[in-house]
Amino acid sequence: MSDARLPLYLMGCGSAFDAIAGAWDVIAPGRMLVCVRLESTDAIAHGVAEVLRPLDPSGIRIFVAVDQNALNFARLDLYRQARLLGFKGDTLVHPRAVVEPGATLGENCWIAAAALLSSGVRVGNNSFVGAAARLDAQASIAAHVWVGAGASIGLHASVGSHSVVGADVHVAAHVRIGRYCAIDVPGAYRSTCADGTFMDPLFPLPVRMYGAPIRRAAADAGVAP
Amino acid sequence: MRSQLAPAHYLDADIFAREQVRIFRKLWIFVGLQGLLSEPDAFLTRTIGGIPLVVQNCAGVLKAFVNQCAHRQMPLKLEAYGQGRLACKYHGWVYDIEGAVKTIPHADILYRYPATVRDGLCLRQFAVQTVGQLVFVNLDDTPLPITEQFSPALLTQLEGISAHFSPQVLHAPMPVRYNWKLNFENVLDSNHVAYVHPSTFRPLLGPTALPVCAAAPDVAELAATRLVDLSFSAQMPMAIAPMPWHALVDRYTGAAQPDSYYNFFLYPNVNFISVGGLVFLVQQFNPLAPDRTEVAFHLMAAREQQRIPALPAILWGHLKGETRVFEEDRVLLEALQAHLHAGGARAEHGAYEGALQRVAAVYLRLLGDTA
Repeated sequence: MSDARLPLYLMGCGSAFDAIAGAWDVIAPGRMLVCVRLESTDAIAHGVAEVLRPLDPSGIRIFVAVDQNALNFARLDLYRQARLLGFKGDTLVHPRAVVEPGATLGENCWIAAAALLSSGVRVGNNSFVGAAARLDAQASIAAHVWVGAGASIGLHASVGSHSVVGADVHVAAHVRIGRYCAIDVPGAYRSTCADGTFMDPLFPLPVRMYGAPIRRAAADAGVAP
Repeated sequence: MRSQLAPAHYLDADIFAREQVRIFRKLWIFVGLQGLLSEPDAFLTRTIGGIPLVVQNCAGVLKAFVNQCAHRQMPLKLEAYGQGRLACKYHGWVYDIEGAVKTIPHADILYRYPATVRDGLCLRQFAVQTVGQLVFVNLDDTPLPITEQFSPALLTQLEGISAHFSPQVLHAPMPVRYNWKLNFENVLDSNHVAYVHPSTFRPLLGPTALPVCAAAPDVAELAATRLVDLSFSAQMPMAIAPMPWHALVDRYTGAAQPDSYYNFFLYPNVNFISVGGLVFLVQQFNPLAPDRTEVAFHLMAAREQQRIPALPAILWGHLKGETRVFEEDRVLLEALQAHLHAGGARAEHGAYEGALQRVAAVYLRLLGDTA
């Protein structure tokens, strides 16, 4: 979690980066912020080592703010590079978000304004929860996940790693969204989405990924693909 | 030259029904990818020529059966791809690897089939042929040799390129509102690229993208065109932006210039392309009705030489790019279909459209029609 005494290096680009940089005075009043804005998410980790290497890992904290690009792998690439250099990430919660006691947040997580995280919610490392999103009691978000603005994750529902839950997507109670899913058509989702399910306005029907990474993921999770 | 096909060939329900029987139940039809059927009891489901199929890994051998239980005709499998034994969820009937009924729960109490009936309970089986990673099925009782549909040279090429497929596949079914033949004709017509895809696909092909224009086939040439002549490959140089993951895969290099666009036209309904031997896309145009088709995409990268964790994201990004190009075609082809009408004019083919004329000539012969 955050160490308010240390300067924070905010690295990345996109809407989350802009939201954090723009609201820094209310997120962490008085704390020093250094913005390292990247041009794009292409080859995102390239050059970051040059920025970080002269710095003392014990003297700063980092926050990697990249949107859901490439199923959150772009953010992971940058985050992993910084961690390999010994830097620790902070988790940032907007002061207008509500995180109830008993909710647990991993490292390098962003909880945006007006988000509501109920008791028992678990959010994995490097996951972002957008503005006005709602995570009901015991909902579980794995690592490297993006929950869009206004989305909701119901009671005991879960979202697998590297998944994107788009804006205004509503996942019903007890429903499982698998790994490597991109659910980007607003609406209510009342049944499980298998690993590697993609829903996008470009496609009239769900797209499915089949094959090795999905089988690996299913084996890891102990479920049938 | 005026097209041999009338608007009725794109509109008429009777002609559509004949196509289903005389083309889709006679020819070898692509059904899916072997790499997704490598596990025991892995299966895929498809409907070809109106017949629902399940293609199943039966103790290491791919077999195709009708996807309907012999009891009450319930589908045995519902998913496009999956893994599980041949069993019916409705009343628990289980089939063996030959498609014969293996067990019927409470058979003696509830069914009391005479032995002659019980012994005859089995799933209809169809011919399966694999060409590298590509799996084809033929529904005919006496299937034509696959070399009468695809030349040995083309089959060798397909085996070579498909050996580079990664085992991770994105499968995207897309319903569209036009006749399946319009899509196959569209992919044979490279002249449309500059007009329909000016900012998406066309810029990748470089400055000399005009189609090769041979002399138009005459009547004798059309009459001599064989089924096997309709399927062929082509390639052209292409601008491919290098990406870090390109160095981590076993790229297909079938052309002198690695940065090439490979295209395989597989009659009747497959357009198989590859961008630089790095990304592979099988586009299939499955007829549903005279004016409705399911376009199905199978998209793969080249096989990983080391694990690429972000591969799902890479494939998803490529699929969206390919689908944006396809959407530009879809909008126009749906408009074309919507404006076809009985008694309307036929297409007037130019010299460069010889491939369309050859396809029409063979199509009519398969249908038992004359031009």
